[in-house]
Amino acid sequence: MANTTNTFTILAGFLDRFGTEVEGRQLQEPTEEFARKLVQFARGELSERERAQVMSLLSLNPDWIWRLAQEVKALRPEPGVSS
Amino acid sequence: MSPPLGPLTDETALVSRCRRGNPEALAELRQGCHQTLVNILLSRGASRTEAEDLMADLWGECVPGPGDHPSLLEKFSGRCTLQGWIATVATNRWIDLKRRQERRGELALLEHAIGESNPVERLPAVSLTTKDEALVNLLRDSLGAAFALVPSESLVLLRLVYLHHLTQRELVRMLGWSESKVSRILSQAMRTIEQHTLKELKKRDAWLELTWQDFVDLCETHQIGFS
Repeated sequence: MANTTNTFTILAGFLDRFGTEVEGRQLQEPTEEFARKLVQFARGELSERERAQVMSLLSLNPDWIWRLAQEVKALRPEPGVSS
Repeated sequence: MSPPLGPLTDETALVSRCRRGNPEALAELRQGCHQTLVNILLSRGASRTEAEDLMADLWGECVPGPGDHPSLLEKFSGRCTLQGWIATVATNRWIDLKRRQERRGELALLEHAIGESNPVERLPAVSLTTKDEALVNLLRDSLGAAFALVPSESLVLLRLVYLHHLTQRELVRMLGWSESKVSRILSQAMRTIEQHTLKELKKRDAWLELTWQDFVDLCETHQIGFS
């Protein structure tokens, strides 16, 4: 029995491979301003309105979501360093 | 719920022997999983006659046919269980059969209504690729319709957590929400996907009985099982 992580990975992978454009798929690079917003979002520094705008753009450009994930991961403490 | 799919012993060697047309290998394969596969088709809504007939045809195609016709198993990638792969192929064929039966029923009605002896000629041609794509189209359309009902913000959060492996605590910090709110939104989104996918399946093919686990297994097999 697949867990939730596996289930979502399988379903999203299936749609990515066979699917229609449910979430949108624009392929251009994000603007510098949007890249800055992602950094601020990762740090929890955006207002609710700004977050909604960023989320809306991310849902149209799911390929950019990994950038946000990378910004969040960059904030993780180094292994062995207590926060 | 479909019966669990158990691995056959030394599947790769068995598949190779079947691909070469070895009758003992085919008999071994059939003996190892025929009943389980029939049970899977029955659990998905097929009649016993449909299940037995489909499987009989399918076993025959697991070895090369006349005129250099390759074994069906040439399409098996080896990246999932053989039994799960055959179950997917059999389900696809059964869906195609049921749809053709429905189509014949509609044609009979049309014939009756317009008094025409061959109403088939009035219908648009069906693409040759439709047969092999029946199941993948059904899975895709049902799942796509369900994803479209999930708020776009929730889909972004699902991707962040399940594809990019952020923790829910990290989402809490980004969003300024409580941990319970993040957890609730993720769970609700997954529930919406599950419930609406199964509802969409029923809307499209009411005779098809798939559990959520069946659905996920079929999606996985389509991604990794075909070469």
